[in-house]
Amino acid sequence: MNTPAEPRRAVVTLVELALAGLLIAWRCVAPTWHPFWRDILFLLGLYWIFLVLCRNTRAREGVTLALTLVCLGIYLKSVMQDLLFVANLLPPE
Amino acid sequence: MMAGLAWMIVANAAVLLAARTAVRRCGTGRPAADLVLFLLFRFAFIMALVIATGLAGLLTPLGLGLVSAALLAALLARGERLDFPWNLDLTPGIPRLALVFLAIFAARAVFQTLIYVPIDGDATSYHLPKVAEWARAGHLLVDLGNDPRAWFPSGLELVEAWWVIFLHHDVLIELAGLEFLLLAGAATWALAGWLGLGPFGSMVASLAVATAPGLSGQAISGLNDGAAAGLVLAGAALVVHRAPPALLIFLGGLAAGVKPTAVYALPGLLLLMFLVRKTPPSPNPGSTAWIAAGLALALGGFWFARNWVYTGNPLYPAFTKFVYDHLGRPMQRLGPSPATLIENLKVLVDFRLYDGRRPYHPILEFSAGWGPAIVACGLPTLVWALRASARMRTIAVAFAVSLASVLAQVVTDRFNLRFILWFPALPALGIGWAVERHRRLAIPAAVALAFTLLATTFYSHYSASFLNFHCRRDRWTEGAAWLLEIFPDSRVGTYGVFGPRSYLLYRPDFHVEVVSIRADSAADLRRELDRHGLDTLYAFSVHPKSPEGGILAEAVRQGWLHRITELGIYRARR
Repeated sequence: MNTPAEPRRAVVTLVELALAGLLIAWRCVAPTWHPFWRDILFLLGLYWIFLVLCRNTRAREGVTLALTLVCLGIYLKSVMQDLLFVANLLPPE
Repeated sequence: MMAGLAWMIVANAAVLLAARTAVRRCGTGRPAADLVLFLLFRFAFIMALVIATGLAGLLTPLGLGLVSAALLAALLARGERLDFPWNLDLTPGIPRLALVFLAIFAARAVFQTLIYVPIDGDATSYHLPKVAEWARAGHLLVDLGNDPRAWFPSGLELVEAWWVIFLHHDVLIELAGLEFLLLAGAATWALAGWLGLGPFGSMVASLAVATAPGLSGQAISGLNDGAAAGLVLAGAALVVHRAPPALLIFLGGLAAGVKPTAVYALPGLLLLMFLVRKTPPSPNPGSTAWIAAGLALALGGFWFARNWVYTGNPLYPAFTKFVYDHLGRPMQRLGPSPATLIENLKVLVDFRLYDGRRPYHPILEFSAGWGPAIVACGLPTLVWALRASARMRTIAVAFAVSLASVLAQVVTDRFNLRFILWFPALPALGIGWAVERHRRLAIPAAVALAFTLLATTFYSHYSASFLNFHCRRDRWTEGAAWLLEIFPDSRVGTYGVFGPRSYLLYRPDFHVEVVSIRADSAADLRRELDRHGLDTLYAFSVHPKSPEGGILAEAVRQGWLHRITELGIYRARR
C-alpha cells in the first residue's frame, strides 16, 4: 500500500483528519431532511478517520463491507420514500 | 424498408472500417485508449457523412447509402481491412456473474431501443424535431421550429439521424445515445487500465458507470448530456494515456459540436494533463492526427458558422432574450460564481445524491442520478482507494477541479446535475479498485447493480400509463391510437416558443408534416393557418400569461379558433 513516507506522515494524517472532519462538519450545518446517522457524507467522514487509525487490512475490509451495506440501505430507503420506486413501475395517477 | 436496411448495413461497415483505419494511422498503441479513439472516429465519420449529404440535399437512404458505399469501396481498394486488434485482456479472470450482468445490460439496451420512444420535454421540443425535419426533407438546412434552443450544436442529433434516415423510421433512434454510453464505459475502462486495474475491476467500474440511472436514462431519451459526459470521460482517458495534442483537439472539436457546455469540465482535464506530464507519451502519429483534428474542428464549428450566417450570432440563442424563461429568469449563467458553486454542492450532497425526490428520470429532476452502486459502494471504496493509490489521487484531483468548475457555472435549477454525469466514473473506479483486492466487496456492488438494472428498465417517463400512450407496441406501423385520434391530419401546426414538444406529431415514420407557426397577433395567426391550409394547431407549451397565450385567447374569443382539449390542441373554423 502506498502509505506516505515517514517524515510526511504526520502532515498527511492531519490533512486527512481535517478533510474527514470537514465531511462530518458539513452535516452539522447542512439543513438536510435526514438524520445524521443516515447521512452518507457523515458516515464517510467517520470511515475516513477509521482508515487513518486502523491499518489492519481485514478490519478495513470488514468495515468497508459493513459501510457499503449501510449506505445501500440508506440509499434504497431514500429512493423508496413515498413509494417513489413503486411509482416507477406503476402508473402515477 | 429492406433497401434501407441494406444501405444501413453498408454505411455502418463503411464508418467502422474508416474508424479502424484512422486508429491504425494515429492510435496511441494502448488498447483501451484506442478503443475510445475508435468510437470517437466512428462518430466523426458519421457526423461528416450526415453533414455532407445533408448539405447536398442527399440525406436519404439512397444518398447516404451511396456515399457510404463509395467510402467503403475506396477503403477496401486501399487494402484496408476491419479487424479487431485490441486485446482488452478479457481473460477468464472475469467472474461469470459480471459477464451475466453485461449480457443483461446489453439485452436491456436492445429492449429499450425497440420499445421506447423519446418523450422527454427537451428532446421532443428541440433536439429531435430537427431530426424529423431532416428525415422528411432530405436536407440539413431546414426550418428549425420555434424553440430557439434548436439552434444549439447538434452533434448527437447527427448520430440519431444516422440511425433514422435509412429506415425512415425512428425505431432505432436510441442507438445514438447508447453509442455514447458505450463511449463512457470504454473511457472508464481506459481510466481503470491506467490505474492498474485488471479486467474484473475495469469491467465492474465500467458497468457501474454505464448503469448509473442518470447516464443510462439519458442514453435512451434523446438528450445530449449523457453524450457530453461520455466525451468528457473520453478526454480524461486520452489525457492519462498521453494521447498527442492533435487527438485531444480532435476530441474537443467533436465535443463542441455535441454540447459546448462540456467545456466547463476543461479546467480539470488541463490539470490532469499537467499532473501526468511525466508519464511516457504515446507515439506521435504526425500529420494524420492533425488532419483528424481539423476535421473535428470543422464538424464542431459547422453549427457556429451556420448560426453566424443565419442569425449573425455564432452562439445564438446566447445573448438574446431567449436565454430568459417566461418569468424573466436567466435559464443559464455566464461565468463562474463561488456562491453558485456552494449552492450546487449543497443540493448535490444534501439532497439530490439520494435520488429520493423523484423517480429515476432522464432529465434528472431534483436528483443526481448516480444510483446505488456509485453512492453506496463507490463513495466509501473511493476513500480507501484514494489513500492507497497515487494515480487515483491524480484522477480525483482533476475530477474535483472539473466538478467545481461545472458547479460554479451552471445555474441552480431542478435539472442542473445532468452536467456532471461524468463524475460518477470516479467512485466507479473506486469500486473497481476495491473489488479487485477484496472480492467480498463485490457482494454489495452486485446487489446495487442488480437493483439499478431493475429500477431503470422502466423510467418514470415510461411507466405503465405511458406505455399505453407512448411506447408504441406497433411503432413499426402506425403509432399510438391516441395520437391518431387527436391528430388524424397529415399536417399539423405548432405554436409556442419554449417546449412545443412537436416531435411526437411527426409519428414514428415521419409521415406527418409539422408546420411551425409564427404569429404576433390573432390576425397573423389566422393568416398563417390559412396560408398553410391548416386546421389543427398544437400549442401544448403556451403559457396562458405569455404573449402567445394572449393571442390564442384572442383567437378563441373571436370565435374562429376552438380549443378542443386541455393539452393545448386547437381547431380552426373555416
